[in-house]
Amino acid sequence: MKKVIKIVSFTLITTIILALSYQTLSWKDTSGEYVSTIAQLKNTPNNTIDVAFVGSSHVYCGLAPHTLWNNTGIASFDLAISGMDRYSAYYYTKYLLRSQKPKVVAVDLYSLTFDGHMVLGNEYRNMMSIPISKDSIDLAKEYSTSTKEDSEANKAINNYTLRWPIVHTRYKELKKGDFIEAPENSFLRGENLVNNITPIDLSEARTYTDIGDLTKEQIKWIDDFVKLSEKNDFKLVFMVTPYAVQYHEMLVYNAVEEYVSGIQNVEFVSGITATDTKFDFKHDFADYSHLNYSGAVKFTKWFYEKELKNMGLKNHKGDAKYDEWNQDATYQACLNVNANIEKFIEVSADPEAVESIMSSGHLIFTLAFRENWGKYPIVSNTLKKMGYKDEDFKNGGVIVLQGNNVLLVHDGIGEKEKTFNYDRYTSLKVSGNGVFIDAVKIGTKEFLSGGENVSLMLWDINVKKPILEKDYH
Amino acid sequence: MAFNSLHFLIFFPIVILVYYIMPKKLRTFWLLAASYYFYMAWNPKYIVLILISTLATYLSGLLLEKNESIKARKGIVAGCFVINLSLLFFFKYFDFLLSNINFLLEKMHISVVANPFDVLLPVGISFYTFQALSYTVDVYRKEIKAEKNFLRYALFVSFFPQLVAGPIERSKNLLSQIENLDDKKLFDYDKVVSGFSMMVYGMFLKVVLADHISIFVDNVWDNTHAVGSTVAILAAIAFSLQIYCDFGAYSIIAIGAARMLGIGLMENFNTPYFATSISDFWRRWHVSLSTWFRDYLYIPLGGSRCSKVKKYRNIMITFLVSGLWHGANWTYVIWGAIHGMYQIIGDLLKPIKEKLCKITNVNKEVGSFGLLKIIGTFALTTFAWIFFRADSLKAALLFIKNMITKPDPWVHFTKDYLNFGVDASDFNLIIIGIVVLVIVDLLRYKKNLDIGAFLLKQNLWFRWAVLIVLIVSTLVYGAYGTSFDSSQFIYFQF
Repeated sequence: MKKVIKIVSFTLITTIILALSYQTLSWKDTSGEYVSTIAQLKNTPNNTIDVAFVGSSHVYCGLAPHTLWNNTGIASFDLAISGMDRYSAYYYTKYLLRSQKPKVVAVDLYSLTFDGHMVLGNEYRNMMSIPISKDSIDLAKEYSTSTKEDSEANKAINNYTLRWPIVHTRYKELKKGDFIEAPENSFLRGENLVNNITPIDLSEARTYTDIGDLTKEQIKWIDDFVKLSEKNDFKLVFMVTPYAVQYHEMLVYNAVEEYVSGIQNVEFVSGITATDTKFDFKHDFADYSHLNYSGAVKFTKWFYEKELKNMGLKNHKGDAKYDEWNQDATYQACLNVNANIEKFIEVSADPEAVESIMSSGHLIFTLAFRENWGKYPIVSNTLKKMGYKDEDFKNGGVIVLQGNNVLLVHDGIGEKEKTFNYDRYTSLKVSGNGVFIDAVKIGTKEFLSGGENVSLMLWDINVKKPILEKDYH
Repeated sequence: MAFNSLHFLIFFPIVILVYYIMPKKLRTFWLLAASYYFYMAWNPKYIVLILISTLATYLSGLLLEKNESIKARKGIVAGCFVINLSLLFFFKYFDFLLSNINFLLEKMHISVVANPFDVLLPVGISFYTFQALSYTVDVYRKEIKAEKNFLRYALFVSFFPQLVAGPIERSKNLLSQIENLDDKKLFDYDKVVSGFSMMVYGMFLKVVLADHISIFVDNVWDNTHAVGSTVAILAAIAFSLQIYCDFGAYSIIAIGAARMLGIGLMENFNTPYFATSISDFWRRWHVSLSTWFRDYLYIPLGGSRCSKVKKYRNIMITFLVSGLWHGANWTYVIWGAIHGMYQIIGDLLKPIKEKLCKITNVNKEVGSFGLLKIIGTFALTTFAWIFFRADSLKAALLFIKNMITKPDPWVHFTKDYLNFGVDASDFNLIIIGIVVLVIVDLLRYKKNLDIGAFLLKQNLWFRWAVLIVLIVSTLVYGAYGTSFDSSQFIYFQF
């Protein structure tokens, strides 16, 4: 009996250590930098999502749940992974249906235009982000047998089923995000909106009216989704997000539109052919494949008008169960501020600009300056806002603020050392030599190094990292 | 089925579990079935070869026991050798012979006799045929009695832990244990723990150390044209370690797996790189093969109890055959010849060395002298391994030329050796692995304990800590999975 206990205990301890190792090594990223739509879904209370958008980066860049929330109180979610393939779209939807009862599921049709992944990272994202279950095994089987040679398919199925043969090689690339979950995963609603601007032209794409032939596999995929919608009682919308579409892709979209036109409770919408989206084609696209922030807001509003307005979906604002949507909306507003911050800083002679930044409660404002800071208005504007005179800091200084709260001030006088912790892992250390600021360090990195007269850092408390670091020579 | 495969990770626990819960009488049958499955998982057709070898040697044993006439007994042994060596010759050496004949004919402007068959080399054929032949010779010499039970004998030839890469077992050791399988203790906890520890350590050596080193070695050999002295020397040393970790790992896993089944296999490696001379090296390296050649080739040729010339002839024949046994390529023959020459030259120079030591007043009792001998022996074996690793004699000679003629000491500072497939973290990993290897070998060298026996003597917490670290390191840092083409155990090809 004693020996049996020993064997069981050893097995248990080894298993626990291996499970912890797996947790560290596992693939955690669905859209970049450890931000994961699946982690966000896991952090969502059961049966709260009313509308689910399923698809690739076209979805997480193009549909903005916070817009729906702000305007209507509808709880929506982007179940979106970079380059999501059609097999993943189906099984990830099944996974979502385990914990949620959406009234509407909008599936992006982009995945129907390609087979295997061009980028291995995207294949990993799609095959390994879904938690291990029968669905994940079915996904690995269907994807691998459909997109790979026979000799490779079995190996891929084993690897994607077990995962360890792939993820153990990540030991060389482990980062903080592998040990501590990205803060965004606790509240984001799947979107990953960007602010780049690329003018595009969809006029030619709108002339592509030819209808292609759907393959058996494509028809089966559509039919499977239709069956899933009937079984789980949700309205199914096949959707095309706007982008610089290719002719062969439009053949597929047009064919799907024709195929589903006769199916009850299944809709088809296209942001490419629609003319009432109010897009500004010079400013609403991030690149040739994705909408940017303003484009996503417009496309989401358009989708609401087209598909959701008359669904009688409930306004959940004020319901504590939907706190993630509130946090997400606040975060997105902060992101909007962050996106414009560089512009504010460039024109920082304007005291209002400084005040605008300083009043953003999600930012910790850190300014360090030497004795010859005189020509940099950002310093005097900051000092003025705080009620100091320029002479008080004639030898230079360091100021840390959050909103109207002063977190640290060092005027360089006295030999004192001061520290401030941005979070558990990042701290600021200021040392004075009795006459002026001697050294300023953030972590081990020198802040306000020898070549600089003024250094500015804005720390975002949402994402727990700097969103702007600027030196003024 | 390779030991470092998922297939084996599933197969082995099932074998162990069923083995210990099934009626003892069925154990032989169960292990035989498992062994045949193990072999057939690689190529089902080639099980026929094992069967032929098994039948031939089994029948030879029975016939030898019935015949007392020396002439008839010699005939039986000869027939058995012909059958087994024919199998070996056809599958391993026929293409080699053809290509050499063709090469000569081409030189003489005569058209080729036939194209090579390009047959797939049956895994482990050199091992199981030699093991089976040793049985026939032992029965012939009346050192053992012939085995009457065919199942037991078939298990002796095909026992899966050592089937494809040894140790090449002797009937006196393995067959007698198989005969007693029914009487063995139901479950020997200590043996299971000790065997498991050996398997874990063996996996670590193979998957973490050997397979990572092989990435560096293979990259160097693929780019011989771009290799200077430093990298070439590093690669030569790395290959010495790779082949030890690779082949040594296989033997350790085999011994561990058998020990978990309650069967003791012979030691195959006894800290070979602590050898102080080439003859000492061969007492420690691939012991099961070197003793096979000693007992069934070198001694029958006359051994050392004859004139010096004959003794040297016997040494050269033994090492040339040993080289050829390792592979059908002139590189292996040269490797064997080098080791033969090392032994002969060492023997010839012995009086001179003794005199030199006396004249220069060298104290042979101090540790530094022993260390120097170890380093010298390692350098000699490492040089010989170059031919073993090379695909051709031309490649080996180019490699040696680069070692000698392209001095590049700056590589130590520019770290250009990191351009050959292993980055700094892999390199550190290899260094840590080598430290572990040296510690374990020192234990073996100083205390004569294998890792399984050593860990069994330790406190539970220490044993568990070591095993868990080895298991987790193997699974995390192992060179397997999608980023690595998990290389086969080097000795599978022999």
